[in-house]
Amino acid sequence: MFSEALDKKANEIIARYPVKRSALLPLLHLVQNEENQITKEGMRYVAKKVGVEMNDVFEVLTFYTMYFTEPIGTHHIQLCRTISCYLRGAEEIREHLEKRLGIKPGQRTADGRFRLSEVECLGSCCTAPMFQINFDYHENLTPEKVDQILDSLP
Amino acid sequence: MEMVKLTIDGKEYEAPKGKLLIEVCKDHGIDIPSFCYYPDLTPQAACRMCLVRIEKMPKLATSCTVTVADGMVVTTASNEILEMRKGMLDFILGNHPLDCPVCDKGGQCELQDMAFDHGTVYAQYAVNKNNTGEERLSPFIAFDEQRCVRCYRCIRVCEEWMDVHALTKIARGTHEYIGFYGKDLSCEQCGNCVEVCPVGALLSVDSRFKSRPWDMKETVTTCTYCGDGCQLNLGVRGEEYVRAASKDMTGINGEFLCIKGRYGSAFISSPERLKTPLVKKNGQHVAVSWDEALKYTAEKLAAVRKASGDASLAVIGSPRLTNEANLTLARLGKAFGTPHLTHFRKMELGDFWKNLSAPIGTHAEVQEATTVLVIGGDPTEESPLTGYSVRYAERKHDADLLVVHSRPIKIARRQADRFLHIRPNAESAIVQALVDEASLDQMAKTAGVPAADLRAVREAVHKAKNLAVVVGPQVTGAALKALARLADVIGKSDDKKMCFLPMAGYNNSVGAFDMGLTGNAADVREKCGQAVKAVYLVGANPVEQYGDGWKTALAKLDFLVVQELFLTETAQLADVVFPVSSYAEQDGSFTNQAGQVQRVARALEGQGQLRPDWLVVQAIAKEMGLNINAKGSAAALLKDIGTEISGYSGVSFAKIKESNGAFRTSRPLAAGTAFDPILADLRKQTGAIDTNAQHDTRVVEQGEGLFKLGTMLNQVPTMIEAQPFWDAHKGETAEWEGEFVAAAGD
Repeated sequence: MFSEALDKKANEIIARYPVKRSALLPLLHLVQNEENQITKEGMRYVAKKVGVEMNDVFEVLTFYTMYFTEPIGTHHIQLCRTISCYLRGAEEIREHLEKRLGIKPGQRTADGRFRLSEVECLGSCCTAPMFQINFDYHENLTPEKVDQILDSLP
Repeated sequence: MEMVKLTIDGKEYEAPKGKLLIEVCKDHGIDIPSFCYYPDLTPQAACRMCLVRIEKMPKLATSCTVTVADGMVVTTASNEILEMRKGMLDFILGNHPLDCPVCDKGGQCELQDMAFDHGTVYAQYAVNKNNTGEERLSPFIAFDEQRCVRCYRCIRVCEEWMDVHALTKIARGTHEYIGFYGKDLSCEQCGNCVEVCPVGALLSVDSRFKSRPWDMKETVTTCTYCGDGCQLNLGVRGEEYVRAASKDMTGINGEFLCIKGRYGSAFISSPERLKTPLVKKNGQHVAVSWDEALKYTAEKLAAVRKASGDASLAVIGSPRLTNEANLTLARLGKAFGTPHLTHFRKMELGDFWKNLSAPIGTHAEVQEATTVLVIGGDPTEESPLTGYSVRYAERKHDADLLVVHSRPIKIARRQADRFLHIRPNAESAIVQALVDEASLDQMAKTAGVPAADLRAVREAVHKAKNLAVVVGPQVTGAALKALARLADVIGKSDDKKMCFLPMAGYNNSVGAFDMGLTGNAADVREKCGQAVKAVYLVGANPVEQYGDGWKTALAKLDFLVVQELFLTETAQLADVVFPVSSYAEQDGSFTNQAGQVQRVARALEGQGQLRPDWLVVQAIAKEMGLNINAKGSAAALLKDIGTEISGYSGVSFAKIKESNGAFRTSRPLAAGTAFDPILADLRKQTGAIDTNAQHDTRVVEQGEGLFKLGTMLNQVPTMIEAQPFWDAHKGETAEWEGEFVAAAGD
């Protein structure tokens, strides 16, 4: 079900730890990046790979906020809401995003292109307000800049 | 054991090194409040109620995770600690609803006690509670999230006691709840999570809202299902059964129960119970008085006996009945002078007893064993406490677990150190390899297992320091005899311990045999209508359980008497049916498969004109003018057992109580009779194994044996309602664990 390349990667990750089950978190990220979400098959793959029960995997993935059991969307906008960004107008950015995308934080647009999340500090306070889309930082945001960024996305 | 000295609250104590501090405190009567600490479960340190001050430690420490050390100075009660407990309780109560008046646990709740002893009057938090509803997890178990204190006892019990892993914690913080992956709770439904829940968060669906704990009368008695003989508390409100639980932890099972023990007793209050004696007149059952029914039965039996002789009467007892009932039945049969003294059984205990070379072990001894051999039975599905004990040995001290079975049973898939997946009906080949090394390679071929594996099992068994052999009903004939002789074959020595635990099947299989019903009822079928003209059948439903052959066989009889709880398929054929008390409505005793005699105690009166089985049998004998040494109470009959039955010497209700509820019977070991004839028979038996038979690779599903309905479970509403649920989950075990790959044999 998963590619051989992914399986190889998984083995490499597992080899980093003295105990197999320690690889649970990175493996969940691995399958999530592959499928844009963690499916039942993904959970099962990870469970078998590190030798734990399905329930153990489910416990871990519901504990953390960065795992999703539904498709994340093509572009995951992670808007910082911690104090520096907040003071520099993160709330305005959020309102703008909500209006433009028609969704609230924690939701995904109907076409599956965007997901909006509010996250805690991403360590870029000197360039606040900022958000991260998938793995890329976008800093010193204004509503206009947000529009530009979103328009430029594929 | 190395002892250490420590000071607790200014007093000096001695304690074994490595013991948990909280346990040492409890041993010495020092109260330390806790939710998540639980004996036999791994420490969790989740509730933070057991914090104590230990000198030289920077912060308060959880006494449930700290092991005692020499020179430790501990304070368990100071202002600091009392304040901390108040604060912790405030947290725990922060989201707890004030619904004690409708909560099943109210009055038996650890949180209530704790709040009373250690809490404050007013809460510090004025935030709104997360209000959530109750959720039905399965047909047996419900969950009220808001009442949960997050002690995770349920999760640990499910993982450690049961090895089911059905429950886990979902989400986090104040939103955390006990849940699972999937849409409902697919598990063995043992309800042990409900048992250990300190509050009313996990609930039994069948007894919920039926009674307050203090409105219930609770009676400790012995379970009426499998041969393990767990102790349970039957809760009765008025004349109505409410619930079965196992609360006082004093019985052989501690707090462990299975689905049948916990949820299988509602049949005693079923409206379908027989209430009056029935006599068949013109093909129809008519309710009659006891006097009439007894007189009619006595006359008919006497007539058959006169016409066709003593041997034309057959007595079929039951492994479901008390020892007292089976004793009177055996006495009745002897007074008849008939050789047909029988009961239905799964295992030929006679062969086993006669060849016994090591004592029968209790569950506690199996738990201590360093090597466990499970052969020919599935403890998880057939004898859950035995399964628990085997898992316990594996969990607590990593016992060497060897499993021999023709199908991949759970214990083989998940715990076994070595699993010999044999061909169907090839148990005898393994037994032969154990007792006769020369034939090992050939037996490996016969059984279809790798010779190296079989050799390893043989070596492990022969070298074991403390061996427990759990024998299932699939070991038959000469193999059973030979296996019983195993200790002689291995050779006894002082540094070797060994015990057997037969999985005898029913709650009183061992007792029924010991009381003198030594024949197997299966042999009576052929004789029905020929040599046997009348059958006195008690507490069995062969028509349903053993197939239609019985229906035609019983129809050939001149006269059939049945004593039953319900009008079963077999009772419908009877000329006379007597309504009798269930195990909950009478006093008596059962002997479990570990040979322990345990008390059956009367929990309720019962509806209708019920009589205990032994009383009915004695009344018949009286009507027929036979002297069967009748007694007026179960206690007196048990005293008779104590004088008449070998191994039961001195047993009485008082003695059972003295022995912590389980009086251990003794069984003589076989005096060195010749082993060669048994071996010769065994060789014949293994020679007959079909070596072309395919391995049965079907995974044994969760509940395959546990969820099967019989005479009693058929009358339990929750069990009936659960059928669609189980049907929906069929095949899941195999799906999750993947295809089982059989070990290549030859």
